[in-house]
Amino acid sequence: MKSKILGLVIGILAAAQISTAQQVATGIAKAKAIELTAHRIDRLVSLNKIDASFLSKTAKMELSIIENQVPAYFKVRVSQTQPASGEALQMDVVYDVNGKPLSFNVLPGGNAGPDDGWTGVDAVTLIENGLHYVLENGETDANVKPFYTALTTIALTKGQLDGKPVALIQMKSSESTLTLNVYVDFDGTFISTEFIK
Amino acid sequence: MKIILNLLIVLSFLLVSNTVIAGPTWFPQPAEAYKFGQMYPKAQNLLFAFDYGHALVYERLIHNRGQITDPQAFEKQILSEVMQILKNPPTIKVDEDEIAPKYVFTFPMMVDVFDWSHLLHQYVLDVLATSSDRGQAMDSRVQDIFVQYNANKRIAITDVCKTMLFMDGHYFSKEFRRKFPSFNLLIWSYHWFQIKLYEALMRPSILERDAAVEQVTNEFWELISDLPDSAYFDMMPETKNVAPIFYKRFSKISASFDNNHMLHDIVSDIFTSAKVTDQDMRSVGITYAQMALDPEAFKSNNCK
Repeated sequence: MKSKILGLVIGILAAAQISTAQQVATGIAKAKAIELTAHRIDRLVSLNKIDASFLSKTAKMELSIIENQVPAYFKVRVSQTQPASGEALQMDVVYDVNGKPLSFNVLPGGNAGPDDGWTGVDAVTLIENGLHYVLENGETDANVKPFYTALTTIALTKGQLDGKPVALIQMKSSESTLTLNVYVDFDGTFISTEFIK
Repeated sequence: MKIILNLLIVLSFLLVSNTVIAGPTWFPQPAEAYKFGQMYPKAQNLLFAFDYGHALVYERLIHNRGQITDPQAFEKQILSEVMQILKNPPTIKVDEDEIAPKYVFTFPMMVDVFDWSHLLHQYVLDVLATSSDRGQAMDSRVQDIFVQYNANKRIAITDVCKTMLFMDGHYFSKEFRRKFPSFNLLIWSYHWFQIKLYEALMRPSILERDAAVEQVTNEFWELISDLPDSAYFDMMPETKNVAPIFYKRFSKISASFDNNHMLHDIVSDIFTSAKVTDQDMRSVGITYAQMALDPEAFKSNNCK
Protein backbone atom coordinates (compact mmCIF):
# COMPACT_ATOMS: atom_id res chain seq x y z
CA MET A 1 0.00 0.00 0.00
CA LYS A 2 2.81 2.33 1.01
CA SER A 3 4.64 1.70 -2.26
CA LYS A 4 1.46 2.42 -4.22
CA ILE A 5 1.02 5.76 -2.47
CA LEU A 6 4.71 6.54 -3.06
CA GLY A 7 4.30 5.64 -6.74
CA LEU A 8 1.27 7.88 -7.01
CA VAL A 9 3.09 10.80 -5.39
CA ILE A 10 6.09 10.27 -7.69
CA GLY A 11 3.71 10.38 -10.67
CA ILE A 12 2.08 13.56 -9.43
CA LEU A 13 5.48 15.14 -8.76
CA ALA A 14 6.75 14.20 -12.22
CA ALA A 15 3.64 15.67 -13.86
CA ALA A 16 3.92 18.80 -11.73
CA GLN A 17 7.58 19.12 -12.66
CA ILE A 18 6.80 18.90 -16.40
CA SER A 19 4.03 21.43 -16.02
CA THR A 20 6.24 23.79 -14.00
CA ALA A 21 9.07 23.40 -16.47
CA GLN A 22 6.72 24.40 -19.28
CA GLN A 23 5.43 27.38 -17.35
CA VAL A 24 8.87 28.71 -16.43
CA ALA A 25 10.62 27.77 -19.66
CA THR A 26 12.11 31.20 -20.09
CA GLY A 27 15.12 29.46 -21.53
CA ILE A 28 18.81 30.09 -21.52
CA ALA A 29 20.60 33.14 -22.89
CA LYS A 30 21.95 32.90 -26.42
CA ALA A 31 25.51 33.27 -25.16
CA LYS A 32 24.89 30.25 -22.96
CA ALA A 33 23.79 28.23 -26.00
CA ILE A 34 27.12 29.04 -27.63
CA GLU A 35 28.98 27.98 -24.50
CA LEU A 36 27.07 24.71 -24.50
CA THR A 37 28.09 24.22 -28.12
CA ALA A 38 31.75 24.60 -27.24
CA HIS A 39 31.30 21.83 -24.67
CA ARG A 40 29.21 19.75 -27.10
CA ILE A 41 32.02 19.83 -29.66
CA ASP A 42 34.46 18.70 -26.97
CA ARG A 43 32.23 15.79 -26.00
CA LEU A 44 31.48 14.71 -29.57
CA VAL A 45 35.17 14.71 -30.43
CA SER A 46 36.04 12.77 -27.26
CA LEU A 47 33.46 10.16 -28.20
CA ASN A 48 34.75 9.99 -31.80
CA LYS A 49 31.37 11.08 -33.12
CA ILE A 50 32.79 13.98 -35.11
CA ASP A 51 36.23 14.69 -36.48
CA ALA A 52 38.80 16.16 -34.10
CA SER A 53 39.33 19.02 -36.55
CA PHE A 54 36.18 20.57 -35.07
CA LEU A 55 38.23 21.23 -31.94
CA SER A 56 41.34 22.54 -33.63
CA LYS A 57 39.89 24.36 -36.64
CA THR A 58 36.56 25.82 -35.58
CA ALA A 59 36.50 29.45 -36.70
CA LYS A 60 32.90 30.56 -36.27
CA MET A 61 29.61 29.77 -34.56
CA GLU A 62 26.32 31.31 -35.65
CA LEU A 63 23.15 31.08 -33.64
CA SER A 64 19.62 31.18 -34.98
CA ILE A 65 16.18 30.52 -33.52
CA ILE A 66 14.11 27.70 -34.94
CA GLU A 67 10.48 28.71 -35.30
CA ASN A 68 7.56 26.39 -34.68
CA GLN A 69 9.47 23.13 -34.29
CA VAL A 70 9.09 22.51 -30.56
CA PRO A 71 11.09 21.20 -28.74
CA ALA A 72 13.85 22.43 -31.11
CA TYR A 73 14.64 26.07 -30.35
CA PHE A 74 18.32 27.04 -30.81
CA LYS A 75 20.38 26.07 -33.82
CA VAL A 76 24.10 26.73 -33.70
CA ARG A 77 26.03 26.34 -36.95
CA VAL A 78 29.67 25.59 -36.33
CA SER A 79 32.05 26.37 -39.19
CA GLN A 80 35.66 25.39 -39.53
CA THR A 81 38.26 27.59 -41.27
CA GLN A 82 37.45 28.58 -44.84
CA PRO A 83 39.15 26.36 -47.45
CA ALA A 84 40.70 27.76 -50.62
CA SER A 85 37.63 26.70 -52.55
CA GLY A 86 34.15 25.47 -51.72
CA GLU A 87 32.32 25.43 -48.40
CA ALA A 88 33.95 25.02 -45.03
CA LEU A 89 33.26 21.93 -42.96
CA GLN A 90 30.16 22.68 -40.91
CA MET A 91 27.99 21.14 -38.25
CA ASP A 92 24.58 22.10 -36.87
CA VAL A 93 23.74 21.51 -33.23
CA VAL A 94 20.14 21.87 -32.05
CA TYR A 95 18.94 22.53 -28.50
CA ASP A 96 15.65 23.00 -26.76
CA VAL A 97 14.85 26.32 -25.08
CA ASN A 98 16.58 25.22 -21.88
CA GLY A 99 19.77 24.17 -23.64
CA LYS A 100 19.20 20.44 -23.68
CA PRO A 101 20.96 19.07 -26.77
CA LEU A 102 18.58 17.43 -29.22
CA SER A 103 20.69 16.61 -32.27
CA PHE A 104 23.86 17.27 -34.21
CA ASN A 105 24.47 16.98 -37.91
CA VAL A 106 27.70 17.38 -39.86
CA LEU A 107 26.71 18.99 -43.13
CA PRO A 108 27.69 17.18 -46.31
CA GLY A 109 29.99 18.64 -48.95
CA GLY A 110 32.34 20.64 -46.76
CA ASN A 111 36.05 20.85 -47.44
CA ALA A 112 38.90 20.92 -44.95
CA GLY A 113 40.31 24.39 -44.41
CA PRO A 114 43.75 25.47 -43.21
CA ASP A 115 44.90 24.82 -39.67
CA ASP A 116 45.56 28.11 -37.92
CA GLY A 117 48.04 26.30 -35.71
CA TRP A 118 46.87 27.45 -32.31
CA THR A 119 49.79 26.59 -30.10
CA GLY A 120 48.52 26.85 -26.54
CA VAL A 121 44.96 25.57 -26.37
CA ASP A 122 42.56 24.52 -29.12
CA ALA A 123 40.33 26.84 -31.15
CA VAL A 124 37.14 25.91 -29.30
CA THR A 125 38.72 26.64 -25.93
CA LEU A 126 39.90 30.04 -27.20
CA ILE A 127 36.39 30.85 -28.40
CA GLU A 128 34.90 29.76 -25.10
CA ASN A 129 37.40 31.70 -23.04
CA GLY A 130 36.60 34.83 -25.04
CA LEU A 131 32.91 34.16 -24.54
CA HIS A 132 33.43 33.94 -20.77
CA TYR A 133 33.79 37.72 -20.71
CA VAL A 134 30.20 37.95 -21.90
CA LEU A 135 28.95 35.16 -19.65
CA GLU A 136 30.51 36.85 -16.64
CA ASN A 137 29.40 40.40 -17.37
CA GLY A 138 26.30 40.01 -19.49
CA GLU A 139 23.85 40.19 -16.63
CA THR A 140 25.40 43.20 -14.95
CA ASP A 141 27.02 45.38 -17.62
CA ALA A 142 24.60 47.21 -19.92
CA ASN A 143 27.19 47.38 -22.71
CA VAL A 144 27.78 43.64 -22.64
CA LYS A 145 24.17 42.59 -22.15
CA PRO A 146 23.20 42.63 -25.87
CA PHE A 147 25.94 40.09 -26.52
CA TYR A 148 24.65 37.91 -23.70
CA THR A 149 20.97 37.91 -24.61
CA ALA A 150 21.15 38.37 -28.37
CA LEU A 151 24.46 36.94 -29.54
CA THR A 152 24.30 35.92 -33.18
CA THR A 153 27.89 35.22 -34.21
CA ILE A 154 31.21 34.50 -32.57
CA ALA A 155 34.34 34.21 -34.71
CA LEU A 156 37.97 33.41 -34.00
CA THR A 157 40.93 34.78 -35.92
CA LYS A 158 44.54 35.62 -35.26
CA GLY A 159 45.04 39.24 -34.30
CA GLN A 160 47.68 41.66 -33.05
CA LEU A 161 47.62 43.56 -29.82
CA ASP A 162 50.45 45.94 -28.99
CA GLY A 163 52.57 44.19 -31.60
CA LYS A 164 51.99 40.79 -30.08
CA PRO A 165 50.13 37.97 -31.84
CA VAL A 166 46.93 37.05 -29.97
CA ALA A 167 43.63 35.29 -30.48
CA LEU A 168 40.85 37.69 -31.43
CA ILE A 169 37.30 36.63 -30.64
CA GLN A 170 34.71 38.84 -32.33
CA MET A 171 31.06 38.81 -31.34
CA LYS A 172 27.99 40.31 -32.97
CA SER A 173 24.54 40.82 -31.53
CA SER A 174 21.12 41.37 -33.08
CA GLU A 175 20.55 44.07 -30.44
CA SER A 176 23.69 46.12 -31.08
CA THR A 177 25.37 47.75 -34.02
CA LEU A 178 28.72 47.34 -32.30
CA THR A 179 31.14 44.45 -32.51
CA LEU A 180 32.66 43.17 -29.29
CA ASN A 181 36.31 42.19 -29.60
CA VAL A 182 37.86 40.04 -26.90
CA TYR A 183 41.61 39.50 -26.96
CA VAL A 184 42.90 36.27 -25.49
CA ASP A 185 46.43 34.95 -25.21
CA PHE A 186 47.27 31.75 -27.07
CA ASP A 187 47.13 29.87 -23.78
CA GLY A 188 43.56 31.02 -23.30
CA THR A 189 44.26 33.80 -20.80
CA PHE A 190 41.99 36.81 -21.10
CA ILE A 191 43.77 40.04 -22.10
CA SER A 192 41.29 42.83 -22.90
CA THR A 193 38.14 43.87 -24.74
CA GLU A 194 36.91 46.68 -26.96
CA PHE A 195 33.69 47.67 -28.67
CA ILE A 196 34.06 48.80 -32.28
CA LYS A 197 31.64 50.27 -34.82
CA MET B 1 56.72 12.51 36.11
CA LYS B 2 56.35 9.14 34.43
CA ILE B 3 53.00 10.24 33.01
CA ILE B 4 54.56 13.38 31.52
CA LEU B 5 57.35 11.30 30.03
CA ASN B 6 54.86 8.89 28.48
CA LEU B 7 52.88 11.80 27.15
CA LEU B 8 56.00 13.27 25.55
CA ILE B 9 56.83 9.93 23.95
CA VAL B 10 53.32 9.66 22.51
CA LEU B 11 53.47 13.23 21.24
CA SER B 12 56.88 12.61 19.66
CA PHE B 13 55.51 9.53 17.97
CA LEU B 14 52.53 11.45 16.63
CA LEU B 15 54.74 14.20 15.29
CA VAL B 16 56.90 11.85 13.25
CA SER B 17 54.21 9.44 12.15
CA ASN B 18 51.47 9.75 9.57
CA THR B 19 48.84 9.82 12.25
CA VAL B 20 49.29 13.56 12.61
CA ILE B 21 47.66 13.95 9.20
CA ALA B 22 44.46 12.29 10.35
CA GLY B 23 41.44 13.84 8.71
CA PRO B 24 39.49 16.76 10.07
CA THR B 25 37.12 16.06 12.91
CA TRP B 26 33.78 17.76 13.32
CA PHE B 27 33.24 17.96 17.04
CA PRO B 28 30.72 17.70 18.44
CA GLN B 29 28.79 16.06 15.66
CA PRO B 30 25.42 17.65 14.94
CA ALA B 31 22.50 15.91 16.59
CA GLU B 32 21.12 15.16 13.13
CA ALA B 33 24.31 13.48 11.90
CA TYR B 34 23.63 10.63 9.45
CA LYS B 35 19.87 10.72 10.07
CA PHE B 36 19.39 11.19 6.34
CA GLY B 37 20.72 7.68 5.90
CA GLN B 38 18.23 6.27 8.37
CA MET B 39 15.41 7.79 6.36
CA TYR B 40 16.80 7.22 2.89
CA PRO B 41 19.28 4.32 3.06
CA LYS B 42 19.38 3.71 -0.70
CA ALA B 43 20.36 7.30 -1.43
CA GLN B 44 22.79 7.44 1.51
CA ASN B 45 24.55 4.25 0.46
CA LEU B 46 24.97 5.66 -3.03
CA LEU B 47 26.68 8.68 -1.50
CA PHE B 48 29.04 6.35 0.37
CA ALA B 49 29.64 4.52 -2.89
CA PHE B 50 30.52 7.79 -4.63
CA ASP B 51 33.25 8.44 -2.06
CA TYR B 52 34.54 4.96 -2.69
CA GLY B 53 34.33 5.42 -6.46
CA HIS B 54 36.10 8.78 -6.42
CA ALA B 55 38.92 7.45 -4.28
CA LEU B 56 39.26 4.35 -6.43
CA VAL B 57 39.53 6.25 -9.70
CA TYR B 58 42.03 8.72 -8.25
CA GLU B 59 44.17 5.86 -6.99
CA ARG B 60 44.05 4.08 -10.35
CA LEU B 61 44.89 7.26 -12.24
CA ILE B 62 47.83 8.06 -10.03
CA HIS B 63 49.14 4.48 -10.08
CA ASN B 64 48.90 4.25 -13.85
CA ARG B 65 50.13 7.71 -14.78
CA GLY B 66 52.03 7.66 -18.04
CA GLN B 67 51.34 3.98 -18.62
CA ILE B 68 47.80 4.03 -19.96
CA THR B 69 48.21 2.97 -23.58
CA ASP B 70 44.54 2.19 -24.17
CA PRO B 71 42.39 4.78 -22.35
CA GLN B 72 39.15 3.20 -23.56
CA ALA B 73 40.02 -0.20 -22.12
CA PHE B 74 41.24 1.42 -18.90
CA GLU B 75 38.03 3.36 -18.58
CA LYS B 76 35.89 0.33 -19.32
CA GLN B 77 37.67 -1.69 -16.65
CA ILE B 78 37.30 0.94 -13.91
CA LEU B 79 33.73 1.66 -14.93
CA SER B 80 32.78 -1.97 -14.51
CA GLU B 81 34.41 -2.02 -11.07
CA VAL B 82 32.67 1.16 -10.00
CA MET B 83 29.31 -0.06 -11.30
CA GLN B 84 29.69 -3.08 -9.06
CA ILE B 85 30.33 -0.77 -6.10
CA LEU B 86 27.29 1.34 -6.97
CA LYS B 87 25.12 -1.75 -7.22
CA ASN B 88 26.50 -3.14 -3.97
CA PRO B 89 27.26 0.02 -2.06
CA PRO B 90 28.92 0.24 1.34
CA THR B 91 26.59 0.97 4.22
CA ILE B 92 29.10 3.11 6.08
CA LYS B 93 31.50 5.86 5.10
CA VAL B 94 34.64 4.29 3.73
CA ASP B 95 38.12 5.26 4.78
CA GLU B 96 40.00 6.74 1.81
CA ASP B 97 43.36 5.86 3.36
CA GLU B 98 42.58 2.21 2.80
CA ILE B 99 41.23 2.50 -0.74
CA ALA B 100 43.57 5.15 -2.06
CA PRO B 101 46.76 5.37 0.02
CA LYS B 102 48.86 6.92 -2.74
CA TYR B 103 46.25 9.58 -3.46
CA VAL B 104 45.97 10.39 0.25
CA PHE B 105 49.76 10.54 0.57
CA THR B 106 50.20 12.72 -2.53
CA PHE B 107 47.33 15.12 -1.89
CA PRO B 108 46.98 15.38 1.90
CA MET B 109 45.58 18.89 1.89
CA MET B 110 43.14 18.13 -0.91
CA VAL B 111 41.91 15.06 0.97
CA ASP B 112 41.26 17.13 4.09
CA VAL B 113 39.49 19.80 2.04
CA PHE B 114 37.22 17.20 0.47
CA ASP B 115 36.59 15.36 3.74
CA TRP B 116 35.59 18.57 5.46
CA SER B 117 33.31 19.59 2.60
CA HIS B 118 31.74 16.12 2.45
CA LEU B 119 30.85 16.45 6.13
CA LEU B 120 29.09 19.70 5.31
CA HIS B 121 27.23 17.98 2.45
CA GLN B 122 26.19 15.18 4.76
CA TYR B 123 25.04 17.32 7.65
CA VAL B 124 23.05 19.65 5.44
CA LEU B 125 21.26 16.63 4.01
CA ASP B 126 20.68 15.38 7.55
CA VAL B 127 19.09 18.64 8.65
CA LEU B 128 16.95 19.00 5.53
CA ALA B 129 15.74 15.43 5.88
CA THR B 130 14.84 15.60 9.54
CA SER B 131 13.81 19.12 10.43
CA SER B 132 10.18 19.23 11.49
CA ASP B 133 10.19 22.99 11.03
CA ARG B 134 10.52 23.73 7.33
CA GLY B 135 11.01 27.45 7.72
CA GLN B 136 13.25 29.72 9.74
CA ALA B 137 14.30 27.09 12.28
CA MET B 138 15.55 24.78 9.55
CA ASP B 139 17.40 27.61 7.83
CA SER B 140 19.03 28.60 11.10
CA ARG B 141 20.11 25.04 11.78
CA VAL B 142 21.69 24.77 8.33
CA GLN B 143 23.42 28.10 8.89
CA ASP B 144 24.75 26.90 12.28
CA ILE B 145 26.37 23.98 10.53
CA PHE B 146 27.71 26.22 7.80
CA VAL B 147 29.24 28.57 10.37
CA GLN B 148 31.02 25.63 12.00
CA TYR B 149 32.23 24.48 8.59
CA ASN B 150 33.61 27.90 7.69
CA ALA B 151 35.30 28.25 11.07
CA ASN B 152 37.92 25.75 9.92
CA LYS B 153 39.51 28.27 7.60
CA ARG B 154 42.51 26.09 6.83
CA ILE B 155 40.37 23.67 4.81
CA ALA B 156 36.96 25.30 4.25
CA ILE B 157 36.17 25.81 0.56
CA THR B 158 35.09 29.38 -0.06
CA ASP B 159 31.41 30.21 -0.39
CA VAL B 160 32.14 32.88 -2.98
CA CYS B 161 31.13 31.49 -6.35
CA LYS B 162 33.78 30.97 -8.99
CA THR B 163 33.69 31.10 -12.77
CA MET B 164 33.95 27.91 -14.79
CA LEU B 165 37.47 28.99 -15.64
CA PHE B 166 38.45 27.82 -12.17
CA MET B 167 37.77 24.34 -13.47
CA ASP B 168 38.59 24.68 -17.14
CA GLY B 169 41.09 27.51 -17.49
CA HIS B 170 44.42 25.82 -16.74
CA TYR B 171 47.19 24.27 -18.77
CA PHE B 172 46.06 20.78 -17.75
CA SER B 173 42.30 21.35 -17.97
CA LYS B 174 39.80 19.08 -19.75
CA GLU B 175 42.27 16.19 -20.04
CA PHE B 176 40.21 13.81 -17.92
CA ARG B 177 36.92 14.34 -19.75
CA ARG B 178 38.65 14.04 -23.11
CA LYS B 179 40.46 10.84 -22.27
CA PHE B 180 37.78 9.24 -20.13
CA PRO B 181 34.45 10.74 -21.25
CA SER B 182 32.24 8.05 -19.76
CA PHE B 183 33.93 8.19 -16.43
CA ASN B 184 33.70 11.95 -16.43
CA LEU B 185 29.98 11.74 -17.08
CA LEU B 186 29.62 9.26 -14.25
CA ILE B 187 31.28 11.75 -11.90
CA TRP B 188 29.09 14.56 -13.17
CA SER B 189 26.11 12.26 -12.55
CA TYR B 190 27.31 11.89 -8.94
CA HIS B 191 27.39 15.65 -8.66
CA TRP B 192 23.94 15.92 -10.21
CA PHE B 193 22.59 13.39 -7.72
CA GLN B 194 24.09 15.16 -4.71
CA ILE B 195 22.64 18.55 -5.56
CA LYS B 196 19.35 17.18 -6.83
CA LEU B 197 18.87 15.54 -3.42
CA TYR B 198 18.93 18.98 -1.81
CA GLU B 199 16.18 20.08 -4.14
CA ALA B 200 14.16 16.97 -3.32
CA LEU B 201 14.49 17.74 0.39
CA MET B 202 13.13 21.25 -0.09
CA ARG B 203 9.67 19.80 -0.63
CA PRO B 204 7.28 20.87 2.13
CA SER B 205 5.78 17.54 3.21
CA ILE B 206 7.53 14.35 4.19
CA LEU B 207 5.48 12.36 1.72
CA GLU B 208 6.63 14.63 -1.10
CA ARG B 209 10.23 14.46 0.11
CA ASP B 210 10.14 10.67 0.24
CA ALA B 211 8.76 10.53 -3.28
CA ALA B 212 11.20 13.13 -4.58
CA VAL B 213 14.23 11.33 -3.13
CA GLU B 214 12.98 8.09 -4.69
CA GLN B 215 12.50 9.85 -8.02
CA VAL B 216 15.96 11.43 -7.95
CA THR B 217 17.50 8.06 -7.15
CA ASN B 218 15.68 6.47 -10.08
CA GLU B 219 16.74 9.30 -12.39
CA PHE B 220 20.34 8.83 -11.32
CA TRP B 221 20.23 5.18 -12.37
CA GLU B 222 18.77 6.24 -15.71
CA LEU B 223 21.53 8.79 -16.16
CA ILE B 224 24.22 6.15 -15.80
CA SER B 225 22.32 3.32 -17.49
CA ASP B 226 24.12 3.59 -20.81
CA LEU B 227 27.15 5.84 -20.47
CA PRO B 228 28.23 7.99 -22.15
CA ASP B 229 25.01 8.63 -24.08
CA SER B 230 22.59 8.29 -21.16
CA ALA B 231 24.07 11.30 -19.33
CA TYR B 232 23.07 14.26 -21.45
CA PHE B 233 25.04 17.04 -19.76
CA ASP B 234 27.91 18.63 -21.63
CA MET B 235 28.88 20.81 -18.68
CA MET B 236 29.29 20.11 -15.00
CA PRO B 237 25.86 20.29 -13.32
CA GLU B 238 25.57 23.46 -11.23
CA THR B 239 23.37 23.99 -8.21
CA LYS B 240 21.59 27.05 -9.58
CA ASN B 241 20.33 25.00 -12.53
CA VAL B 242 19.77 21.61 -10.94
CA ALA B 243 18.49 22.77 -7.54
CA PRO B 244 17.10 26.30 -8.04
CA ILE B 245 14.97 26.33 -4.88
CA PHE B 246 17.87 25.21 -2.70
CA TYR B 247 20.16 27.67 -4.49
CA LYS B 248 17.82 30.57 -3.83
CA ARG B 249 17.55 29.72 -0.14
CA PHE B 250 21.16 28.71 0.49
CA SER B 251 23.17 30.46 -2.20
CA LYS B 252 26.44 30.54 -0.28
CA ILE B 253 26.34 26.86 0.56
CA SER B 254 25.48 26.21 -3.09
CA ALA B 255 28.58 28.10 -4.17
CA SER B 256 30.68 26.11 -1.74
CA PHE B 257 29.33 22.83 -3.15
CA ASP B 258 29.86 23.89 -6.75
CA ASN B 259 33.43 24.88 -5.91
CA ASN B 260 33.94 21.46 -4.35
CA HIS B 261 32.67 19.76 -7.51
CA MET B 262 34.93 21.88 -9.70
CA LEU B 263 37.87 20.95 -7.49
CA HIS B 264 37.08 17.27 -8.01
CA ASP B 265 37.36 17.80 -11.76
CA ILE B 266 40.62 19.68 -11.31
CA VAL B 267 42.08 16.73 -9.39
CA SER B 268 41.01 14.35 -12.16
CA ASP B 269 42.71 16.58 -14.73
CA ILE B 270 45.91 16.87 -12.69
CA PHE B 271 46.15 13.09 -12.41
CA THR B 272 45.40 12.59 -16.10
CA SER B 273 47.47 15.32 -17.71
CA ALA B 274 50.99 14.62 -18.86
CA LYS B 275 51.57 18.38 -18.60
CA VAL B 276 51.76 18.00 -14.83
CA THR B 277 54.97 16.21 -13.95
CA ASP B 278 55.17 13.64 -11.18
CA GLN B 279 57.57 15.90 -9.30
CA ASP B 280 55.18 18.84 -9.46
CA MET B 281 51.99 17.01 -8.69
CA ARG B 282 52.03 17.49 -4.93
CA SER B 283 52.69 21.22 -5.12
CA VAL B 284 50.14 21.64 -7.91
CA GLY B 285 47.62 19.87 -5.69
CA ILE B 286 48.30 22.28 -2.84
CA THR B 287 48.11 25.30 -5.15
CA TYR B 288 44.70 24.37 -6.51
CA ALA B 289 43.32 23.33 -3.14
CA GLN B 290 44.33 26.77 -1.87
CA MET B 291 42.59 28.38 -4.84
CA ALA B 292 39.41 26.57 -3.83
CA LEU B 293 39.64 28.20 -0.40
CA ASP B 294 40.51 31.64 -1.76
CA PRO B 295 37.43 33.84 -2.23
CA GLU B 296 39.24 36.05 -4.73
CA ALA B 297 40.57 33.32 -7.02
CA PHE B 298 38.39 33.09 -10.16
CA LYS B 299 35.66 35.04 -8.39
CA SER B 300 32.55 35.28 -10.52
CA ASN B 301 30.61 38.49 -11.08
CA ASN B 302 27.42 36.50 -10.99
CA CYS B 303 27.50 35.61 -7.29
CA LYS B 304 24.24 36.08 -5.48
